[in-house]
Amino acid sequence: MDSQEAKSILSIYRSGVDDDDPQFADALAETERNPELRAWVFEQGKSYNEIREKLRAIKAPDGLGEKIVRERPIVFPKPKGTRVWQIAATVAVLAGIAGFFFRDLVKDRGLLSHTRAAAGAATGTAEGSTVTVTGEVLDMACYIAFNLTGPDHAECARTCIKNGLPVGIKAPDGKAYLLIGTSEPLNDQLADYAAKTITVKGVVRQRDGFLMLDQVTLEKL
Amino acid sequence: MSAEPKFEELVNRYYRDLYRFGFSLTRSEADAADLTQQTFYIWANKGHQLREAGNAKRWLLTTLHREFLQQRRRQQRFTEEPLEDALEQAYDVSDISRTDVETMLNCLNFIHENYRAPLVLYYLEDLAYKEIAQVLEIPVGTVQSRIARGKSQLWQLLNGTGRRKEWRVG
Repeated sequence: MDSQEAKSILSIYRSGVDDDDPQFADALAETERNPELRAWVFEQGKSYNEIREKLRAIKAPDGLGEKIVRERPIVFPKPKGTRVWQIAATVAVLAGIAGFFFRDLVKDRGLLSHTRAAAGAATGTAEGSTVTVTGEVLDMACYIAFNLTGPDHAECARTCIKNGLPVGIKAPDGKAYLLIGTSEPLNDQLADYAAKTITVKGVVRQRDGFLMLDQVTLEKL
Repeated sequence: MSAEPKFEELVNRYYRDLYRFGFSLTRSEADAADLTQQTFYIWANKGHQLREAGNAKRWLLTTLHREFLQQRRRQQRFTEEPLEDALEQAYDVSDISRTDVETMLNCLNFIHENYRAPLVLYYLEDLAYKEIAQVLEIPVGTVQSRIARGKSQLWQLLNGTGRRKEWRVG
């Protein structure tokens, strides 16, 4: 291999990066025999490093990383069995509409308080009563939308709760409660307990089928 | 919803590299920041499809480059300038070490985009040629020839083979 051919091959050689690339092996071996070629390769490497350093001096704007994390869109997984979900969603919407009209009907007839009391009795959770619940910490968005719970979903739940999505608890009897403190969110305190079992105490609130524990205190983490 | 590696961790690890790559391609802070942000959001949507977390950076670079090409096609606002014209505007720098970042980027900007992207990856990232080829989705041989030509063009620009101008070190 002559010097010119070696230079042609080594023109894109990067010391430290391409050392194991076999296409450069013969030409590099030639540098051992040819001092002029060796000096040329040295100069090439020096220039490479200088250009590299200058490009690496480009600085990202302050706060860009934080902005990207902060503005991250919430991405829900595409449900499997789309048709089943479409049907379920349709049923849910229809039930919501029916419930809305039914609620107006009973309200007009002064039956709402009776209905709510009956619901409370049926679920065993009396409005305004203080209860202690032991259960799994839920990211309510994923739970309601996709029934995602448990250790497999822990990391996601932690992220969602940390990002401010509603946090809840699922009791062993299957009831899921939205959790809030005394007029303040509990996300910061509960994010790291996502999918773990904890005990909380709070005042039961319920409306339109939703269950919530208000003025929650964390009893056992 | 979240995929491994964790989103925040991934952003903190790679956003500077992506921004540098984006800025080298666009020469615009706003465009580079947008490209970087958009790339991570695409990852948030599709990153779970990655089989190996170790490939995350390559995947991100590929995605950023794709987004750059798509934006460029949509906007059609990048005008191509023949190298000869660029050389006419070239600066005289006898020593690359005296060249500041701004000049380096100016010169890079004169290089055709086909050569610029592989050249930037060649200098910025410690990627093997095969990996650069995967990022840019072109054959390895093409990557190498484009780097060689791009490097030659950059050197001509930096060494001022065109009209000589007074050079001030920044």
